[in-house]
Amino acid sequence: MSRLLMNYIDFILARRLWVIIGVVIASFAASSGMAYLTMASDYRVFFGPDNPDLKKWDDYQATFSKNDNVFFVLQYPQGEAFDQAMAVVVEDLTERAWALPNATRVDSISNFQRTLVVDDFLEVEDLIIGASELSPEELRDRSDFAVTEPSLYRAILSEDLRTTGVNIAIELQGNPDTEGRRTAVAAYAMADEIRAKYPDLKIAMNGSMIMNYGFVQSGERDAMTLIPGMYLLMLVLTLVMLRSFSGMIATLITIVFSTTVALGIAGFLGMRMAPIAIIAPNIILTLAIADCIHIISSIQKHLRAGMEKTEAIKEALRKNFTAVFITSVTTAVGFLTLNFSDALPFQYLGNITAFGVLAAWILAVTFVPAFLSYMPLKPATAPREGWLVTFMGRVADFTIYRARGILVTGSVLSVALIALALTNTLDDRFSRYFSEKLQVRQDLDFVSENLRGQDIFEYEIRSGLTGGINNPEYLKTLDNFVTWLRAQPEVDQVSAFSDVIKRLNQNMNGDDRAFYTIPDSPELAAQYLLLYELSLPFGLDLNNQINIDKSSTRLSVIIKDIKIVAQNDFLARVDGWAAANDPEGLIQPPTGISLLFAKLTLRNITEMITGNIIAVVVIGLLMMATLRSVGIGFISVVTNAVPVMITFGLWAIFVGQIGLAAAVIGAASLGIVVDDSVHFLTKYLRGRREKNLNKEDAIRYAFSEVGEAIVFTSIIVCAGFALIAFSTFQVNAQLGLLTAITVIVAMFFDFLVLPAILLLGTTRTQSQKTKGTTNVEPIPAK
Amino acid sequence: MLNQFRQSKRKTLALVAGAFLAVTPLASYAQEDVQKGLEIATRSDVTDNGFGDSTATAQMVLRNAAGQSSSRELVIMTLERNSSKVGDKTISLFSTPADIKGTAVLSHAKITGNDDQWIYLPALKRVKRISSSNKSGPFVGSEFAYEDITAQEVGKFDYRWIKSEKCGGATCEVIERTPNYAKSGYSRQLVWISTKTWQPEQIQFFDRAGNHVKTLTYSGYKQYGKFWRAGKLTMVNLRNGKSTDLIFTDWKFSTGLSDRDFKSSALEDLR
Repeated sequence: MSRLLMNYIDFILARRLWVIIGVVIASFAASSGMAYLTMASDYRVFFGPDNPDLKKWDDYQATFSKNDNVFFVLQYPQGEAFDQAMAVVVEDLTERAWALPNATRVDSISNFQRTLVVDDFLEVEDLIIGASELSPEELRDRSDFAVTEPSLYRAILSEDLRTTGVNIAIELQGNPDTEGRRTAVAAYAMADEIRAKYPDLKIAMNGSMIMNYGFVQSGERDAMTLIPGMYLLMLVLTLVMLRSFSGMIATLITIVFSTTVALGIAGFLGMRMAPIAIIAPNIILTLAIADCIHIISSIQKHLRAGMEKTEAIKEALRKNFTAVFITSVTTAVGFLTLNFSDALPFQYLGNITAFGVLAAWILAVTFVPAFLSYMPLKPATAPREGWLVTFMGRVADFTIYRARGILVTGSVLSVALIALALTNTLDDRFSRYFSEKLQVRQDLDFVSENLRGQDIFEYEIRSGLTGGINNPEYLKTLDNFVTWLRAQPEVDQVSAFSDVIKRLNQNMNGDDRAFYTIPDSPELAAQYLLLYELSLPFGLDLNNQINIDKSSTRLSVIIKDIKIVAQNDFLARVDGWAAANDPEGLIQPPTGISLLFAKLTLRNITEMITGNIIAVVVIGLLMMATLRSVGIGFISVVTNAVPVMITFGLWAIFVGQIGLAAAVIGAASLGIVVDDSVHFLTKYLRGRREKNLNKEDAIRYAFSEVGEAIVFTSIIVCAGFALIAFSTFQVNAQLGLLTAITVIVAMFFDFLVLPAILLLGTTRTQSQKTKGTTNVEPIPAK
Repeated sequence: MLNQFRQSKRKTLALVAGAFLAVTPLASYAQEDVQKGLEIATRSDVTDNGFGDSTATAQMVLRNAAGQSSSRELVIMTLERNSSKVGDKTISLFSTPADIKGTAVLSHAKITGNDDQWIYLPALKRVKRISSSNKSGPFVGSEFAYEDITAQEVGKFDYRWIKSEKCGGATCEVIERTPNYAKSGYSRQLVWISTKTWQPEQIQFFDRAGNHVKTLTYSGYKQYGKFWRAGKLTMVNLRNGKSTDLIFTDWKFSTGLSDRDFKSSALEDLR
């Protein structure tokens, strides 16, 4: 093995020019795949094709209508929706909205289809026509009507009448990514036109098309801040830690290539950039920097020790080859297990990061040595001997002396924090995915505060009989359900077919309010419905509320902005009501985008259980093989898995609510944090096996050899992930922050708990005997 | 009253717009194409003149993207009117499903104004007159808009000839037509008219944003005397994957229907 390695290293340096040329050509070739990368901008990307929740939602949409939309929410600083100023705007926007790409339906307070009754003449027409010529009294009349209309009031007209919305139903034809983006861009442009025409008007943009576009906005913003931030960090870290311009250049080229190669391969494989996956370059950058600093600082150390440059490079490569390989492989394994999630963004994140980490490793052992052999390289400057090395020695002594205390305290703390980890609550609301820095989130919050909540539960009320929706019993159950729902404190608005049929009954009976009831016979209801269907204009039909054979209707409940826990409580109460009041079982379980996301985290956590187990087992086996010790390999896995769980405990104390990131953080961070243990344990075992040191001295040896390097790597990785915490996308931010914390916790474990476990079984007397005897820190290499 | 004022204002607007549009095609389209388009449309219309009255049974089959379907049956009676200023009179009488059996809709079509419409509801035993300012709406929940199935009188559109091409076993003239009806759901339509029957073979519908949203295909043409009638009309909505078939059987001509049968008061007696 070592012979083979030496031959390889000689080869790399002997053919250094060819190596550089070859690496550069191969990198460019692989990177060219980036041209095929497109940005996924559809909430559906989070749900795999087999996701039963998505299937249910798709069936629902196939039964009624697609639910994509753009929602304009309008408010003037003063005045109400039915004031002339606003009525003019709404009428104007309603008319323009039809020209929005992929628009199939426009709903507003102006084009609401109001039925007017004069004797036996029924006229169905727009609620507002020619707003600029309507008198305040006429507008007042329409306002009074709108308040009584359940499909307007608190749905597109706020409770205080100040705010109103124009909803545009969208059905995308063609490529959903490009068409969706085209629609959103056109909607924003339309909003700008309206703003220009009506100064002082506040327009908030909302709806699934806008949310989808939010992924793009968030991704672009992150790309503009996080990636440059990462490069800046790289610059600072390499200059501070290596104090070498050459080293910085080598690192820079390595990180650029490893990211572009990873993205290029992803492009060739037909992957897309998606929310979450967008942070893969940041992770690759972080880990590639760590690889480079390891090797380059090792070269510098050997230069300082007086070696000639080529020899120093060879020696550094020889010493670090296995460790850098293993740390890259464990990281790649951890990330590859993200494929167990059925959310494509996680799969993409996992795969792209794995490609990048492996690319970084290849570059670090080919390009970096070859390149540096051409470059002037300063030896490491002396003052490192200073406080950090002394401190490491102190830590080593402390750990050894207090081993039992550390073990006891560590175990108690670990158990307590792991127990606390379970108290994290899941709170996945689509609306919370975006940072408050983004326009899309500000608009969402505006709508929640001024009009209504964002979460909609969609129920199918199924009669099971063709034409069954006209049966009085069906309609009465539906009406009772609606009445009950409207009395619930969580509910903002309910829209259901029973309201339509009750209004028709009233219209057909001389507009007498006493007839605002369910018709007595199925024939009457069916014929009213036929009449109504004959009188509706383009795009305002009932196909989105009634299924094709008139056996089911749709019931949508918009709820206030409440947490998932409160939502679940509400849903449980609905089930209770249905069990007691719907003996026929007409009410089907709810679906909708909100529920899809509410279940997403839990579903991913479940899916990732297998992924996590595989990550632990494979990484454990790798450690055992690398360290050539089953016991120590096992210990290393434990001391790295525990910090991940502890992080969740700390999160529970300081944050408490956790999102989607929770599902993958285990597998993703295990592969990263295990790296420090690899370095520590490799040196510990070398001390034990090659230098025949006792446990205590082997620990001191490991501390002196790699303690400093572990601190540096931890700082690099922690800083890299901490930067991701500034992402405008909540999942990314949590992923970054959780990993950053895990890295630090793992470092403490490596310095305190790992040595203490290694000392387990050693008696106190033995450990006391050696205490303080060996303070000659660096044991000279043979 | 307000309504009438508004409509007349709209008409004025339409006239102004029409006059404007009548001038602009000179610039963009060859006048001869406009002329040829109109000739083809007129020829198509004329071949159908003189049928007097007809009845047919129609089965309407609705399908959604998931493959579910439902059907209803109705009898359609038509009375031809020879003036070019008014359209035909029609009655649609539903026979299934059972809960709407006997429901009848009477329309007196106008060329660009709103049709007069009455509906008889047997459960209520009353005739109601309904406003039909909404020709663009779907016909009883189908993919056909009301404006798609009412008589396609020449005056409802402006025309432009596009090209001639093979269609099935015959040649088709392809013309573009733009609705003169302000509330139409469409910006334009492309019509394939067979030079054999001078009847449409296919119509493509473009929404107000200019997207091709629906395609109507005519099939199973048969000749009854000198009149061609399609056995089946299939409307496919390209957006939502829904479709509607209208299958006609029992075509009868000159059955002796008269103006008296097409009065609102006569609806109750239909069975």
